[in-house]
Amino acid sequence: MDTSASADDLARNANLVACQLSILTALGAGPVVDLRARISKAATLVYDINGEPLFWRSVIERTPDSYVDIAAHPALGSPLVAVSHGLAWTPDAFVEQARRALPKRAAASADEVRFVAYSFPKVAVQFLKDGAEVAMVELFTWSLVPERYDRAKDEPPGNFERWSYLDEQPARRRRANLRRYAERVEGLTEIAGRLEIRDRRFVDIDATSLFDWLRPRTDSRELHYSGRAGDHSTCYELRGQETNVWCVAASVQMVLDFYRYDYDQTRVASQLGLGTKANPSGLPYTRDGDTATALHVMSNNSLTTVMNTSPTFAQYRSEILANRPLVSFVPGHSRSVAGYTRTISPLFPSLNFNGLLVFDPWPPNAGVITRWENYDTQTYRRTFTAHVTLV
Amino acid sequence: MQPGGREQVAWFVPVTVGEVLAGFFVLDLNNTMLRWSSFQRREGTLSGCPDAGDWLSESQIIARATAAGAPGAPGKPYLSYDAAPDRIAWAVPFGARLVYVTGATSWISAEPT
Repeated sequence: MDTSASADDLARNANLVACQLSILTALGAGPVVDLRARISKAATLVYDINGEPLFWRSVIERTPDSYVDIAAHPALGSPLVAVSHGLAWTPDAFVEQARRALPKRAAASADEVRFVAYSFPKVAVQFLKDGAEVAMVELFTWSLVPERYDRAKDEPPGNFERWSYLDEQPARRRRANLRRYAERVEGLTEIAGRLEIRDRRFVDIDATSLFDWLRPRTDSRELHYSGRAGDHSTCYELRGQETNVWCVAASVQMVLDFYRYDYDQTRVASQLGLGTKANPSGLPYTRDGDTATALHVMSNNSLTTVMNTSPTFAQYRSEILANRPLVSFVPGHSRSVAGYTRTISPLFPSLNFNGLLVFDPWPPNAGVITRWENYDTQTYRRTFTAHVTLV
Repeated sequence: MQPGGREQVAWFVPVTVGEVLAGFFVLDLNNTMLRWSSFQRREGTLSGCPDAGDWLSESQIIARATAAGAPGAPGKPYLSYDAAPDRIAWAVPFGARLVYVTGATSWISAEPT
């Protein structure tokens, strides 16, 4: 039996599974494990029918007749595949029993034995000679698994038929599982580190602190009159762009309004060299920097302005926390940003969300307030920050 | 939403309250939320929200497009954007020209299609 494949992955994933089972036990969500126990180091590798390692099966020490399945392939979607109670996992005995079900000649010729998820999650013992299958025997029924059957397209597998979990996994499901697996590994790695889980041991976790870790934490802030959010509602006003190409003018107007510099949009457009309302033009890429200049000049040099060429969410957040709006350029458009929200869940990163409160001057003569724009789906080209110059 | 090449790029999901368009969601083709945008200036009032028909009624959109003064007869409108995906607009073909319509505002595209 091959139990050596990806030993590092097994060591890591077994700790992550110990972490996840400890959490489930603490939450009373089951399956309950003996918290003095640990996952055995002696794991059995179970292959997909296509020959790729699929998961490890390992007994839970001190817990009679229990074993856990640990992902060896990320397409399973989570390091923890399954926990089973009520049946002892005794691979050597199973191989011997399967061997007895074989014709004597086949049993004698085999030079390799594997456990195979021939119809996931059903497992069989596969006997091979020189890498080719001699026979496959289903666990517990000890029946020979039939040869591969060429099914019609879209025909599901039968009840006693070999098929590949990995090869037949729909592409969309595969992508979702790979993403979920990576998220789970990241989240569990952080928590396992905090809990100092080693050597596949379960740990007793205080449920109160656990809830604190698992609860998605949301951190939001919108512009206010002062730094005391409770004293005043959101303090920012939307300006629709007055022509189809004056998004920059409208964005600059919103920031100037915030600092009580009251200009109409035609005047801001003139400062930016964007023509007149009857004959308007947009700001070309080569003149992005004029935005910073306009903010500075139209505040009578009171605002110190900076153009950032590689905006990050952290920059947006730090500006909003300082109670300062930004002008935000995305490809082909300009808006103003007046808030952010951030949700973090260590165990379930799929809940993570970074959003921006965008005062968008589009559509013309109206504008919309976008609450929230998904930061991870947008391309941010420039930001323009402004702060009051202190003397 | 389909830009000039008519490739689908996103879903526009309007939210109406009575006769007005209160806002809209934009989702990508995998149904990931890109944004929720509201025409409401403040909670509790729909003042200033556009007439839903200006965004959702084909005949009203064509009427707004015609008002832009492009020569020729209008073709079938399709939801698109002007230059950047954030600049959502209805596109109405008038021969080789496009007229964009956003609510009560319309204009002739600077570039021939």
